[in-house]
Amino acid sequence: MNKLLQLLARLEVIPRKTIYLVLFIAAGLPFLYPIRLPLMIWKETRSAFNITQNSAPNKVVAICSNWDPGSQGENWPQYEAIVAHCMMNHVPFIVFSIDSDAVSPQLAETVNERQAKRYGCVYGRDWVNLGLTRGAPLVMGSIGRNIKQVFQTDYRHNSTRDFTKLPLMEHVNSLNDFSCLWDVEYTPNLDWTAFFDPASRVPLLFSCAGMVSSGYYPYISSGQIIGMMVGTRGAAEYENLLNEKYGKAFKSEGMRGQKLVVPLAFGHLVIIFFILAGNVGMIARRKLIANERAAKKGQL
Amino acid sequence: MTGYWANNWQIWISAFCVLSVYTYLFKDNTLYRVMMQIFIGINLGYQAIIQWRDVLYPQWYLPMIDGFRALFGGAGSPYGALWALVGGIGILFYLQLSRKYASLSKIAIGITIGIGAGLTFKSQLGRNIPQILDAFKPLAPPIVRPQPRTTLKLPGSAFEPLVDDSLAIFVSGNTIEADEVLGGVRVWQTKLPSAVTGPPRFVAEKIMVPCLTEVVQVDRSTGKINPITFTGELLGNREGDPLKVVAVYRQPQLGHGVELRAKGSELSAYAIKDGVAEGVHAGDFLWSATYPEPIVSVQSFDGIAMITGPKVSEIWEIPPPQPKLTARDYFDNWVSVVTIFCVMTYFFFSFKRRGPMIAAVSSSGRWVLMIGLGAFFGNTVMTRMSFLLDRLMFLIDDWLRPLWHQIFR
Repeated sequence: MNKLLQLLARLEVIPRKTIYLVLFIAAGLPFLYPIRLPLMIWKETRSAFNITQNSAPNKVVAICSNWDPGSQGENWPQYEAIVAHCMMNHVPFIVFSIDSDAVSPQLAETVNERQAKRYGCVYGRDWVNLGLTRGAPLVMGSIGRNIKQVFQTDYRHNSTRDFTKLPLMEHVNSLNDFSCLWDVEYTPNLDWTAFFDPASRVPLLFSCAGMVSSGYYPYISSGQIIGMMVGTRGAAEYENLLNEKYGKAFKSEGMRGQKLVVPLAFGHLVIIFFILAGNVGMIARRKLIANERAAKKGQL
Repeated sequence: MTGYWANNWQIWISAFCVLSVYTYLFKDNTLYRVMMQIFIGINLGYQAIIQWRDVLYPQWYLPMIDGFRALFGGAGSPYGALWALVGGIGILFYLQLSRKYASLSKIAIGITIGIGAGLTFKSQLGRNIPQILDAFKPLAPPIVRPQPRTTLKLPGSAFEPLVDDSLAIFVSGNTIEADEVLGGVRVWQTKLPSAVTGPPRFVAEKIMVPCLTEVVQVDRSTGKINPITFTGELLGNREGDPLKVVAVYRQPQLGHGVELRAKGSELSAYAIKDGVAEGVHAGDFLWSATYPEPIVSVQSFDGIAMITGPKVSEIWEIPPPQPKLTARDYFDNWVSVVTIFCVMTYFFFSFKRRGPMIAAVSSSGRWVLMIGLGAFFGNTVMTRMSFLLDRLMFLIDDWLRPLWHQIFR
């Protein structure tokens, strides 16, 4: 019995490097041998999808794209899914970054360009990248009042009042011209709820890292946020919804959400296994110590 | 092979960087530290350039230079030169580096803290008041349905009032009156030559009012009667039933999903499409309310309804459709309310918690906190794992797979 306990107690001190190795192998395997797993679509993802899907034809989807290389693991698939949705749905969109990493507008531009080639969209007519600005939360209110005052030029240095180059901007002035606002970043800024549109006429949709998502659920319950895409899982759900809605028109090749969600599940299984193993090890060690004490008392 | 290197050298550098950073998992080492310093250096340099190119140059430098040019006879507004003051205040921050003038930096710090405090105050109110309101959740099916709230009283009208932007025109007896709908302020009032016999109607900037003897033309802005009047029949000003209207909500997600129907002095609301709220279907009765007199007309705009009677009109804030809650929803609400209560008890330190009851509630608060933190932990694992997978995907798909094909094709 003690030998078994000693064996189990070793589980408590599994070397860190072993855990990393197992994790790398388990998470890497689905990339080599693709597997599909069923995916339940959460209410908040469906709600965000429906709002974007039902955008009024004379309005634009506004996307605050603040993700950077540090958060691209989760935010890139989310952003790409939103952009693909807008382009397939023929809903024009504007992208801007506020107080983000300097590389954010460039990352957004790369994704936009790739999706535009797939769906035949044109810069200036179907989307505009307004680049980076600083000064949140004040600038959020200014975007709601007069976006051209905040962004006088776009990311490509065209004037936002030059309607021959940017015809889309002719009808985009204030929040009345937005059908919804997406904030895609590691921790979406809750100041949008207070500064951008306190009357809540423009639905706010957040696209966040899974780690911080728990803190946003109360804001969904209160109606301050209407929908949310949570981490890679949210991106995979959104891609599933695109698949359901558009079928073959949705070019899913290279989309990252569904590709990442299976390795993610495998990684979770590994973590759960090691948590259980660690706990079994701890219980075995305690039992072992108790047995040793009882044996010593018996000797005395 | 040359073609492969020409296309993939950047991938190799990226893969080398990724693997160098991951060597830290084995142990802290020089390669990892060198790579970390390179990343920080590149990032800072890049940030500095973008900060100037995308923010300071177009938003501060150009308006300032244009302002100075205007001061010395150029085109444009000279007020742009004031941006120089902003630059001056910004430079004050750097005086912290000087012992002699460090105190001047407090001006810039004070301004920043003042702005920050003001913004935080607004931000906290805007974020948290809806949260506090949402903490009051229904724990059982309602006995009374939601009721509209009267926000403003306006004059009555014998016919459906004319509404144009924020101005409403009311006619009663031989009086015509214009009021601000959202403020309740009377803009003008005019006596007509005889009693009004039909609803008024806009014709360009004039209001045509059918009276007993003639049709009177009233100026929309001033209320003055135009001497030119004519006789004849005036067409109605709107189509449809004035006692039936589709409610317009401010929130686009609620859309135009509710119909208000007036009968006598009773106003009722019905859903006109499925899903205006969770579990609500087209035709479902939502609420009803009684008006103090027979209703002449109902109009709706910008989240409100204007109910008009012969003597008085009222602006009602119409309640949004409420979701039909199931037993599970009520259970969730109980969990939510009990959790709030327990956690607040746990964090209540104003006086000593005595008695087994309070101790039990407080202890439950700690347990539910732990469950909440467990959910946070699960999500943390998901995020960290996603970041790892992103790099794994890069290493396998972008680096190893092309290499494999290159070697074994």
